[in-house]
Amino acid sequence: MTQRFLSFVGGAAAHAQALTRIFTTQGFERIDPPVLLPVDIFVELSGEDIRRRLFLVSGPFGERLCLRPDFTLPVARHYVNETDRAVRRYVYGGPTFRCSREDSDCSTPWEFQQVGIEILGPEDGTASEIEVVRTIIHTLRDRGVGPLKLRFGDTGLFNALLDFLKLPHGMRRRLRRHFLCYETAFISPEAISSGQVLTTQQALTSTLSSLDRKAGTQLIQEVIALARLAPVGGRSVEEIVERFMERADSSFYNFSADIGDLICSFLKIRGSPSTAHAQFIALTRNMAPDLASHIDEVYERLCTLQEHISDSEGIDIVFDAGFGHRLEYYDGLVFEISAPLSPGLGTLASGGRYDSLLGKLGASGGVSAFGAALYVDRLIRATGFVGL
Amino acid sequence: MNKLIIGLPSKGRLQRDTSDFFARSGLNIQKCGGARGYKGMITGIETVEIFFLSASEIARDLMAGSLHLGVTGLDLVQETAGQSTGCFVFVAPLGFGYANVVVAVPGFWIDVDCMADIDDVASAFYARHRKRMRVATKYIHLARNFFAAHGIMDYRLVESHGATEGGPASDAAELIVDISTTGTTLEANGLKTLEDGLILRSQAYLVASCSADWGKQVRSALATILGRISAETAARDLREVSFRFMEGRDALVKETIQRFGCTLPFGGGRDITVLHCPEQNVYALVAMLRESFESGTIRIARLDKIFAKDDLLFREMAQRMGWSDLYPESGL
Repeated sequence: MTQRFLSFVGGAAAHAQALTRIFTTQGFERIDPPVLLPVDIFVELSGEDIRRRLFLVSGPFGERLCLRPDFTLPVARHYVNETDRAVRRYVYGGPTFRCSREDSDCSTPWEFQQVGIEILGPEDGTASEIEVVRTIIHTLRDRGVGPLKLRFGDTGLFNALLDFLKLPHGMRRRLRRHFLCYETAFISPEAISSGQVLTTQQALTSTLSSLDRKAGTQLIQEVIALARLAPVGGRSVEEIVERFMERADSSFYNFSADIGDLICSFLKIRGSPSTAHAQFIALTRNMAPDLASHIDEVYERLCTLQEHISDSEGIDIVFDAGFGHRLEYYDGLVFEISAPLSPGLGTLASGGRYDSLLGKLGASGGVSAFGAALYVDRLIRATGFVGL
Repeated sequence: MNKLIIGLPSKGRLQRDTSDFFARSGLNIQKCGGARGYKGMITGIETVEIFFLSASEIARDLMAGSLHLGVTGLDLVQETAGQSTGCFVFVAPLGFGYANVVVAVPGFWIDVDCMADIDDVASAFYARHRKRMRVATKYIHLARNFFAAHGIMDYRLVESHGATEGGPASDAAELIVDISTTGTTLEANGLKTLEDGLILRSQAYLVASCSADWGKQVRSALATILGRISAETAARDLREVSFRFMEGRDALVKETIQRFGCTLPFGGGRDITVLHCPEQNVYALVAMLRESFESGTIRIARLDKIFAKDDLLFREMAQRMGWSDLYPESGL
């Protein structure tokens, strides 16, 4: 049993507070989200698996709480509870608590300091992307971190690909979730095509494909009644009908094996923005030509971003289509920054866009949300620099 | 004086089966303080103390090291092991308490046969209801690992201790992960299992704790207990086959032994050959003997106990624990 909880870096807490103060001088408003949060908000958003990465605490009256595993969600909740929907520029800093995903990963301490900035609510989402990425880069440079590597991804691009390929809805949902949570671990051509093979109820499904919705519903209801099966639990008969109808959708059968290969090749694209752009266009030219405008848009945004940040030397930018950020809040551009000269340290800062999270938390209308956090302990290790 | 502390199930079918098993192994359990006592001993072995506990307490106490040995279900050991840092050794499966940990869904989910369906249904459920599909279980760790291995994310576990199979009917959950012996309880509650939804095949195991304090006296008591249990488990699965030895057929006997996994416990006799044969191979062996050895009577007998010269259970245990003095004085 490794004592990972002891491996946090001395001085990191003071350093985090000092960094937070610096950001407040740059027009960010300091907020202090709680450390102790209800477990449910994380499980509901991310699914059961997140629980094993959380440090769970019970309240005296049976409340199920956890120590905050990151700041994004508590910051978003803070914004939703604000009295107005003005543009907010937040800065926060403090300890976060999270188990590493892999048991074998002993390098990541369980308790670590994060400082981050988030811009919520602006009309122009691009401007906040530029501001956040620039500010983070400058902060790293000011602390003397050497050459930087920026890795970008865009979960929206993957979603758009799935839509343009007109995959069955169930498959789109599943691929999206797998991508967001596990990146490419569960996505293979075999897995994609095997999900399409109907082994049972072929007669029923093909009959349904020739019926309209009303007749289809009636057929399924009669089958259930014939077998004397009682609906129990929260899943209704309508949901079963819907799934059958979805499977009976003709696109389901016309699903070609090439699509599995296309999706997997798409997720393997990585390189400089211009190289990646050319590869995306070449790959999708035949099967999803409509995706081109979306690809161009992402590329243009990256180019704008590049113009605004590459005034300093020693920044290597890579676009990686398989980069899904492993946290499910993100729904657009995501990025992480590492220092190639200190490869063992991992990511020094990461962030992304999470517009839809605010909707899930109850905010009405589309709210633009973009932010990033610095891993203070790693920053200190990268620079050997504790004082400010 | 240090005693070997054994945790045994305190109630139900598992308690009766365990007690019978120990009795067959020549280990007669006596309860102290009458039938309702929580402590006991084994007749004639002063160095052993028995605690009667629930099967899940036994698993937990083995991890914690407050028991040396225990009898409990594989399911509970695996589940407890996933939630703690203790260490244990599976000494032997006991051949009773068979049950499976399975995923079960409402029977009216006629569109669901396998785990891939669950994945699909789970994400559709989340998209539709904006909340996670609930899985009721007491096997938090087993269920979570199994679902993760199938890449299923859109669900949440609801802890349930007892009457889990009623979860969907009482709208406490959409599906369950539970232990099932025959499936009748699941069926009675309108649930069905999935073709690839078997999480674990469980049975009762004799389990040792590595976290416990294994002094010399305790090890000596262990050697005694394991010696008797080995004698019983070895005898349980073997049959003794005797037939008249035919001159000049040594090669054939050797081949027979290899082919049917038999042993010659007393070496090659001059008059009668005695083999120990795994029970499931007995009839095939007899057929072969009939063909090759012409005539004569073949006797098959059940065995009561087999004390081997070298007790495998104890030796494996000593190796796993890294004990250097393999054989403390054992008093059979």
